[in-house]
Amino acid sequence: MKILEKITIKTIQLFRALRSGLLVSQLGFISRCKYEETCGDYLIRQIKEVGIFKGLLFGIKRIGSCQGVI
Amino acid sequence: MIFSYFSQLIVWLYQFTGSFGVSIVLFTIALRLALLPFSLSSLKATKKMMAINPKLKELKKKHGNNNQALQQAQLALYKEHGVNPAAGCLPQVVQLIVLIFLYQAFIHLLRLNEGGVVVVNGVSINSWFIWTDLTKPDTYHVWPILAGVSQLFLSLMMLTKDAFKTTPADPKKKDKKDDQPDATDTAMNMQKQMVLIMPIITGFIGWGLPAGLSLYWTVTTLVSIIQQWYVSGWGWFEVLKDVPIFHKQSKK
Repeated sequence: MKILEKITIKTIQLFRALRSGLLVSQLGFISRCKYEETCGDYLIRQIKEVGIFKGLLFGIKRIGSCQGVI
Repeated sequence: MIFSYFSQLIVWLYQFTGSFGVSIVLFTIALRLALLPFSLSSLKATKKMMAINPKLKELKKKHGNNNQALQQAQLALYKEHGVNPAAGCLPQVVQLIVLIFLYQAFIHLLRLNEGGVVVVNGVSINSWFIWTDLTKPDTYHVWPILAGVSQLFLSLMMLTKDAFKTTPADPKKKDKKDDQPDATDTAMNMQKQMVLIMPIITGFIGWGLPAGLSLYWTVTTLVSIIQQWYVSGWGWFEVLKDVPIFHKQSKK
């Protein structure tokens, strides 16, 4: 896997873990993801499968669809 | 505007208790009590989701790539077990914004210090609490350490008893080329990695910021620990029940 893809995936994973750790400890809860394969997991899978640019595009589209934006 | 409400509340609590530290503790507890309905329903939903996770996996296997059928089956399963539909990621963004505003307000208030006295809306607040000036970094480093330790405790409670047990690799899984990562497993793996990172970050941030912030962080994490215990028990700490010394004590 290309180095840029690895860095992007690690950054996404770190952000997700920090976000959930922070929200649970500070506010006591975190709202649950709407999809069974969460947007974060979907984004990581897409980056692995179709590359960083297309993967990010698909991921943004998925996040948008969650709130009916896209 | 948010800051003026926030500082007014702290001033009111200070006039009531006479201690800046106790005011921060009471403010934190009041804030968490206000958020209790959201947190309990969210934690209960997570608990239910964990309970039905094996059934969700079965449905995934059964319906394969037929997303529509899978979604319908999932909805039926959620309905059957009383799991409310998730709100998605927008509330998380709102939560993060609230958190940023709260910390900004806290830092702003703690920086109004004028020689050991915080002057808010004309009221002078003595910023000393036990051994430290809450508007300055703790010289004894106790509050950042307490914040980090409480964070470590909570992170371990959020894991399952078997979280650190190594399981032999499933040979069937190796053969599967299109094996998708399971959402719950990935989240759990990341939580395991974050068990130490999160407390270190907490302590590191607390080191350079006013001690009042670390005090707030410690109290709010303690409330989260109680909440987590109420909803899902001791988490990883259940493993201590298998340790002979604790086992004997629990038998008595």
